[in-house]
Amino acid sequence: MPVADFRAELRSWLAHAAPRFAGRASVGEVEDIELRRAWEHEVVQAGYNCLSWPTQFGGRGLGPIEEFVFAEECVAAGVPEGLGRIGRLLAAPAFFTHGTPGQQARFLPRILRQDDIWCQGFSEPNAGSDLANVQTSARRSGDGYLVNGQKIWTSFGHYSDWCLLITRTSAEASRHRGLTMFAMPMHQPGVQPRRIKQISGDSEFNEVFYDDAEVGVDCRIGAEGDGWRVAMTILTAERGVGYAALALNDLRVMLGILDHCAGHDPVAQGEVARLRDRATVTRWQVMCAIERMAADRDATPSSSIMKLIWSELTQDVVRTGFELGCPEHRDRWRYLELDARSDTIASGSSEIQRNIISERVLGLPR
Amino acid sequence: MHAQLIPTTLCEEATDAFADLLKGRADDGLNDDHFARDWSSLWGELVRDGWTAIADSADGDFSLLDLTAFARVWGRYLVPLPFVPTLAARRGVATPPDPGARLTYATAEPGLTLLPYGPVAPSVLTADGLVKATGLPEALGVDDWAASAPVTLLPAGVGPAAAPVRREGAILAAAEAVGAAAAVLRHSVDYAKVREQFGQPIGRFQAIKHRLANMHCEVELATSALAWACFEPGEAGRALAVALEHCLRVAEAAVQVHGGIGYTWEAAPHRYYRHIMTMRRIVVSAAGQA
Repeated sequence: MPVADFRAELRSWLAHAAPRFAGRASVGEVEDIELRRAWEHEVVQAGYNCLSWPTQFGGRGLGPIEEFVFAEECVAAGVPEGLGRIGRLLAAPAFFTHGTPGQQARFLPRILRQDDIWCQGFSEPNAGSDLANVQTSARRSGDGYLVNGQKIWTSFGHYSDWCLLITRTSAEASRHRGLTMFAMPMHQPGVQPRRIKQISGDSEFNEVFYDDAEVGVDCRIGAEGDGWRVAMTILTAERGVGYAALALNDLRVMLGILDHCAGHDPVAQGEVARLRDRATVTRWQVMCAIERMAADRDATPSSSIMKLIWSELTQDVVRTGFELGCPEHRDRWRYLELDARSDTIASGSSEIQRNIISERVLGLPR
Repeated sequence: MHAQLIPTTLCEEATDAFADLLKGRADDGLNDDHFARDWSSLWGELVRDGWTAIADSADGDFSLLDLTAFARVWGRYLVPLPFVPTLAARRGVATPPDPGARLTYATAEPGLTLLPYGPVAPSVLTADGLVKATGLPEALGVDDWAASAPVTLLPAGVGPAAAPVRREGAILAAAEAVGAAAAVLRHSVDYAKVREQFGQPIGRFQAIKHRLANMHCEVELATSALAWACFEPGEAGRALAVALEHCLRVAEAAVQVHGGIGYTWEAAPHRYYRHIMTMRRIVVSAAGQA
């Protein structure tokens, strides 16, 4: 189906299914979890979840372009974002690439139906930018492993069913080689999430303590010692077009509010116009990357570039909103100004992205 | 969302071949001789092998976006021949002239006149379209920032619709600047790998690495802005202004990465810097009128 037709189909479905959200600007609001879950189930029922998954895994077999259009139309309709982002965008690619057929059959349909919420257990107090320094251990025990250690910055941790957990299975192997990835069941006594209060005042993420937590061999993603490779698949997805599309959507909403805040002040209007141009170029950047992906050309180098660009642009946008001091949106911009600090830190800080670009794309010495 | 945002496979193969040709002929270190040389034999080759005719008629093999890929390749080498303006002009005329004709355009703003690649009477793109010039108009001086070379006349009676040619000419000129920015980034990366201070290549220092990473992002964004300009003609002026701003920042940063040597005439960065500045004036001027 031509993309324009697909967009028209979506618009007519959204007009029918989501009129209650019309005109809403969700960015900068703490949204009700039940509202998000309920809308997500409507998306599943209508067959719009996981559009770009292969049909063999229950997806529609469409391209990343349709996913992008879906995300754009959803924000235009004001619908809330679901909770399935990590399962859909991060766990699924890990299973596509590294999962056994048994794991694919077990986990993917549940992600597709939004039955399970996933979180990501990568960072630790001493493994942030230096991810290969992971110390949380997984030790063989009977039919499975016992996990001990501490993870941090785990978004959705307190209501997740599963965690993409990177652990150390060998103390002897060199840093990157001793790592193993698991699909960790979160509902068990050995797993204790504790919420962390953030600078925005939210407590959206957690530290999670693992104390002899159990995980079966059947939940190991990839071979023992292959965890770094699986982690790279996941991180590339996290820096890629799926997340960039979500960020562009937020930018679109924020720029609309900024227009309002600029009012008739020509200096402010000029500033907003410049930010809008940057957002538009970023959108074209993402669309070009999507086409490279659709043409099966390597889009991996673009992922760090996209992540760097949208995260820094987002911070410039919220700062402008904050500084314009519009009374009507004062609280929103205050919240966003603080909240957006995470954009240039999460999923690889801007400094790490610049290292990746300079070393892996430009070939500069380490 | 548009059908084709990245060059087609056919275009990729053709631009690779084009790049190979130029690499063999024009990759000469960009010294004074590069700009003083007679480039007629390269022009002859371009004509003979059909490169000057790739843009003939808007429904040819290559889309406008494809042509930006050729212009980007051309922009790497700063060859003082009006290849890119010729493409733009030929695309805009119903009956393109002899493929050997060198076509160019000029901008005339108060206090600034630019005529890239042409001290000798060219066909000049003005507000009235592409017009035959019998001699270099008094008002159109030659800016010494722009590389220059002889051009010939567009035969009388061939006149394109001015606005689309001007807009597409601006897009292709911007693409040439993006190619120049990509090339000066490449020069800077190569230099950072070999220039040693404190006993190691400066490219190992994060201060340099991160500056180069930023330059790479700017080249990428400038390239994306070309797609924006191609597919949203009404916004081309804004898109190209963004593209050229990125190019300019890349050129400025390239001088910085080269350090003291980057401040000298003999080093390459200022050649790109000048070219990008010239293209920027042309692009902003042309896109502003389109």
